[in-house]
Amino acid sequence: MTPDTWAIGPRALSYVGESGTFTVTNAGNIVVDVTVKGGHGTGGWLLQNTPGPNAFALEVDGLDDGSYETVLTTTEQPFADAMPVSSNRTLGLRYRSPTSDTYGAGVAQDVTVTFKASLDAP
Amino acid sequence: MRRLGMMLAILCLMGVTYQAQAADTDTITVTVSLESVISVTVTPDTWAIGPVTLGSTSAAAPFSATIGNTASKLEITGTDAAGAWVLDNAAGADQFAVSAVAAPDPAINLSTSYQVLAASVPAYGSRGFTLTYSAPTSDTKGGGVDQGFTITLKASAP
Repeated sequence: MTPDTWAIGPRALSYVGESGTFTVTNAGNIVVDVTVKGGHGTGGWLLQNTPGPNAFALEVDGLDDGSYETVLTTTEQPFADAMPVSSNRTLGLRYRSPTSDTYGAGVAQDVTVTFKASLDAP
Repeated sequence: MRRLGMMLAILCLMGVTYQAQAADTDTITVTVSLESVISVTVTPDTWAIGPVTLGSTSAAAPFSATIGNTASKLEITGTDAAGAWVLDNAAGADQFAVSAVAAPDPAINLSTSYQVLAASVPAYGSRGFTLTYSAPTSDTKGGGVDQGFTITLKASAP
């Protein structure tokens, strides 16, 4: 995964921001399926389908074409099917901050997006 | 032959084990936080003292200041009165005084410069405070003259 960070920084409530391009590479020696999932914010914000009080949303543009077709949850969802060895997939992320907050400014609400490669299941 | 069969069986088992471990993860770490907004809201935002007698002192009037999403220091200041009474540290001739208490912070007498009312109020927190008015001891402006004034609270980084 390159890059492996996205520094959004301090943002207002109801902020919407798009990342640059990330690249997933099958660096192994077998064809793989790739799934993706998100996590909750480290400071207490929850990952949800849509932003709300103390809740943010993360979406994935899996084809890097401006269409965010996957809304991340804390469970794995398909990202890429049968990625050949040494192949790449590019993607973008879109972050939507909560509509209201009770934790306060400056509290880190960092999130981890996890990609998992496993044996391609034909 | 039997030994070869066992070896093949072991190798097959190793292969299965290898395939079962053929999964890997990688992550993107997203760093984000809420933007700081320093603000204060005071309720109520009026104080109707009404006509006063010379040398009198009002009852303590309760107010509450609510802070925005960032822990803040609260400062307070007042103005001279519309009818020319002067805000001073103590009541006097054509001079009035206003004391403010936001326990546990120390009481202060308002002036036309900012003074600390509360050293630190947590994010989204509220701080109650009281104001007490002391009327002038003598007057040269006359009865019925509007002697209203404005009190301003300011929130800033502690």
